Amino acid sequence: MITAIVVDDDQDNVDLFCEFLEIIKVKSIGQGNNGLQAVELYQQYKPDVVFLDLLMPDYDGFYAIDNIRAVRPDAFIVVITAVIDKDSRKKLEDLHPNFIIQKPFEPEQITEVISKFNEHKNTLHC
Amino acid sequence: MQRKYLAKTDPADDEDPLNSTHRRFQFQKQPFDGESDSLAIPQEDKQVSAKNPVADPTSTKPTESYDLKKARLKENLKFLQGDSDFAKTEFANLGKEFESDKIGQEVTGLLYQYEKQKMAMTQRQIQEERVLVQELNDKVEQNIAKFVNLESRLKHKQEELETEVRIKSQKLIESERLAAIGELSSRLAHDLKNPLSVLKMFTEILKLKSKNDTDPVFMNKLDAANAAIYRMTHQIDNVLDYVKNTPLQKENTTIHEIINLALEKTPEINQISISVEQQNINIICDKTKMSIVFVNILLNSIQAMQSQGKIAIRFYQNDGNTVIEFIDSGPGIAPNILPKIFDPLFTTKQHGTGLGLATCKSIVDGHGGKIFVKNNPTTFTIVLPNGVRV
Repeated sequence: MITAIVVDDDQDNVDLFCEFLEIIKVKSIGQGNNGLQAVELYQQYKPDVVFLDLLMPDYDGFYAIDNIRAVRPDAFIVVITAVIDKDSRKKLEDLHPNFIIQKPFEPEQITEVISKFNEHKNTLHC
Repeated sequence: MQRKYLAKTDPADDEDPLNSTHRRFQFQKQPFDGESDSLAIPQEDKQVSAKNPVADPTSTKPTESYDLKKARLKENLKFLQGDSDFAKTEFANLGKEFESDKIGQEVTGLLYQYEKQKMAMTQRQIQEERVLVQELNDKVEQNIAKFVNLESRLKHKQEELETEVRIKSQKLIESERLAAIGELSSRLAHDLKNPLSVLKMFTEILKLKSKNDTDPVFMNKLDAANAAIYRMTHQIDNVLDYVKNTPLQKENTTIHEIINLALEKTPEINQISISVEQQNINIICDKTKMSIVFVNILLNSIQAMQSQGKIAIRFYQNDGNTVIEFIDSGPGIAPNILPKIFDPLFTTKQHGTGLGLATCKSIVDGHGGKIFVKNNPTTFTIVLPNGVRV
């Protein structure tokens, strides 16, 4: 079973997203509300996938990507964000997250990401 | 002596009247002729003084010669009196025999000559100065005209600059206001989309969990909730698309690719059929932005047809342009609305932002293209220049 951590400053979003992951057979092993917690959770659980919000108080998603990739450069990170302006899009693209999804999203977008992760994992194993 | 000489030449002069001037000239020159004459002056003075009763005994001799001279003169006068013109001249000359007279006449002549020359010179100078003054006046007038011209040009320029400054500051204010609105809408969008995302997750989870639920009323309500979420999201995007005005990222793409992107963002409606031209066309544009254009045109058509009808998307190459047409089976656009349809904030809908078609225009304009609409059937046409390859 694929494992994931979910980090978003809106706890309702986190709860519902985890419930959704459960339906599509993804196990959420950690939840957080800012970038610092994301890094700590990653170091602690080494999940397959990181679902990460971008704009969060104190430590944002940029901080999280930077520091998670420092721990593991090929960490599979999916950014789920409400709004990206042109400056932060540039900044975000430089950090090369595996996927960028805009809120609100269709459930199919997440299932597609999971299937992409499976492909990614299979190529690594081969 | 001189007189004798004159007397000798006189008959010749008489014969040739042209020589008279020559003669007079010679006479004029007489005082400068030689020392002998000037020496004679004191002698003559002595002759005058000899008339004095207390004169010395030696004075008799000069008096005699004087008398003799006088007598000879009278003889000459007699001889010459019959000879009209010449005699007169000679006579007149006689009185001038005296050196003082000669000098006087000479001085007068010279003075006259000098005065005449001076006068001529002065007149010439006056004339020259008059010309100069005229020239100066002309120049001054010309310069004044130039100044007046310059002044009016300066005034004109000043007015132009003032207008420019006014327009530029207006634009600056507008762009600052737009930037402020952009920032505000960006934050607003973020703050609205997060709770929208929660709602969307909720409805999607409900849908997934009730897969086996056959209650159509409940499922319809979930769809309605999702449609409402979509509408809100679209409106927020609309405002952001219009306000953010991000630079174009042109790339090689195809019209089918843009249509697919657009259809992903357009809700599926059963009673709307969309037909797309089979033959694909390569195009260079910002595909994300162009898909926003397509979405807005499609949504406009869907709303106009009240979610029931047909939309045909046709495209072809024409004269270095790619032409894309959206033809719908809707009722058309009222003539009074037609000219305002692409104006920002113009809307006939209760739920509209009035930015959808304005955004279309601004994106198409950004690509150097044109967008227009006509009725019978309702057709939105986009003309994009093919431009250079990326």
